[in-house]
Amino acid sequence: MATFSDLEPVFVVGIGLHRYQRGSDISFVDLGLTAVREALTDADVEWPAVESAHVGTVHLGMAAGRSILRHLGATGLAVAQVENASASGSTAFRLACLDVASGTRDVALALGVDKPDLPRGGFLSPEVRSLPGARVLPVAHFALLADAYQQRHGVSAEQVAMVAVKNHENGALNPYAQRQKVRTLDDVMRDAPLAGSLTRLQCCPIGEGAAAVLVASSRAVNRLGLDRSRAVRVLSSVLRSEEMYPPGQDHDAALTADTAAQALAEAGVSASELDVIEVHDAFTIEELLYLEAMGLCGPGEAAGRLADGEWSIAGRCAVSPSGGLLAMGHPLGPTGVGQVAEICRQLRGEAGDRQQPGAEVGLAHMVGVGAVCAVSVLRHET
Amino acid sequence: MSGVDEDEASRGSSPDGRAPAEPTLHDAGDPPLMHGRRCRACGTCSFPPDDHGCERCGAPPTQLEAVKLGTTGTLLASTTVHLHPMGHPRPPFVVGVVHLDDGPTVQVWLAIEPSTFLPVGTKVHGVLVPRSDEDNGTVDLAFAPDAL
Repeated sequence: MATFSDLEPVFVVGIGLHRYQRGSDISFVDLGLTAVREALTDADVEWPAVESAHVGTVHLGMAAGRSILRHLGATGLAVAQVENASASGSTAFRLACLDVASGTRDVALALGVDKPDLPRGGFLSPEVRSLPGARVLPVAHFALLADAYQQRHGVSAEQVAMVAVKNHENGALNPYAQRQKVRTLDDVMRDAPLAGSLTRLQCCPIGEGAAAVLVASSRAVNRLGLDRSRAVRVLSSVLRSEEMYPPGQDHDAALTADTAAQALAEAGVSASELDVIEVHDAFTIEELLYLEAMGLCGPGEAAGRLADGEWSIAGRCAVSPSGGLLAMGHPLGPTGVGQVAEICRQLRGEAGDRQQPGAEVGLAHMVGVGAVCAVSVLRHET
Repeated sequence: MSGVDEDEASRGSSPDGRAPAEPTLHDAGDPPLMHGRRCRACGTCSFPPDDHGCERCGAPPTQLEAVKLGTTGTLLASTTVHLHPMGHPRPPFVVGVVHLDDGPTVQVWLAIEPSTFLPVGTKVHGVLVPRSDEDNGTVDLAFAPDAL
């Protein structure tokens, strides 16, 4: 089976975002255009050079992509919308990469845009499918995981909450983040309890925003005279969905383990080589679970490593240097694309006071309800 | 939707007139039983009852038979919900994950005081709990820890 290393090399050449924020009167068209224009400027690429666009969104509805992109010029490029719950943006990114990797396109756009309306239909339709029915919402699901994890490994609720302290500290340095305020452990623990020991600041806000990433072939970098020194290579981009796991095995962790293992293998990179990671930290407990699942450390060890500063900026591997979902926020469509933008910023050495020193290899990870998991591995080749 | 026929659902009422709030999912028997499916091809039991096909082996609906699942099992996790945007039920309430002795792992409502600590591995069993906002014998299926 072919992997990215067998196909045309793919490079991220431009990134752009609209700040993630609480729902406002700003139209989704303006959110999207802000991100795309910033990416085009960053790449020094003109819109007509873009040959396809994959638009990740959950809430915007039919044909949102064209509604946005027509205002950049109706060039006739291929436009498609992709929805994969929280992994919509990640999936849009993978599809844009595949366009270039296949040699069918030279330049492709991945755009994620969303507004914070309540989800309807699909996976969350009101048919009762479990005994507690609508009682087990995502926050309760992850509070259940936190209960099992804390009991199994003797980890305290405070140790889990420290993920929020780290990520809000990072978010405070990020002008694109919804939450830009440093929080103490006390602030986090005393905030409104939602389920179990998970308080409001341990859960991501879901607002609005947009993120855009341009990918191109090596041929296009030459033809368009792009700055090769700022081009970031996409080594792999993998998408998987949930399987049936043995009783008692955590589904979310198992899905992440399988997806990350495949992405790292296809990239020819080991977990220990990763310098930066953007992970699906919608709830604090998730960051610990997924770091262990991806092989950054052994089961039950992530909280101790966090306390030792290993996942902080300037630590062994910067995890959620953008602020993660917890501080950036999680408008559903954009997040996966925004993660790639942050990884690229870090690998290019352009992350300012959020910079992970010497960052060369990064990984972006998202999960989506259903469940699906998308992992991409990137390297900056100087 | 599940393939439970009306006969199956109506037989769910108990002799003293209690009726399950979700008759497609469980009955109001003593002890209460849950409605599930068993795949004849691979033997997997599943809940909730779904006739679209076997999630384990992909066998078609003709291979899925209706079964009653016992409501004894082992607790894998529990948590108290403090804030809940839906109208019903009023928080705080407790939910959990139970590995049923008959096979499936299911999310459940736990009939215990909020913020009670329950160790992973606690043995639990199904109990019928009247819906507090209805006074007509309607009952929900919840789980409670076995007596020590």
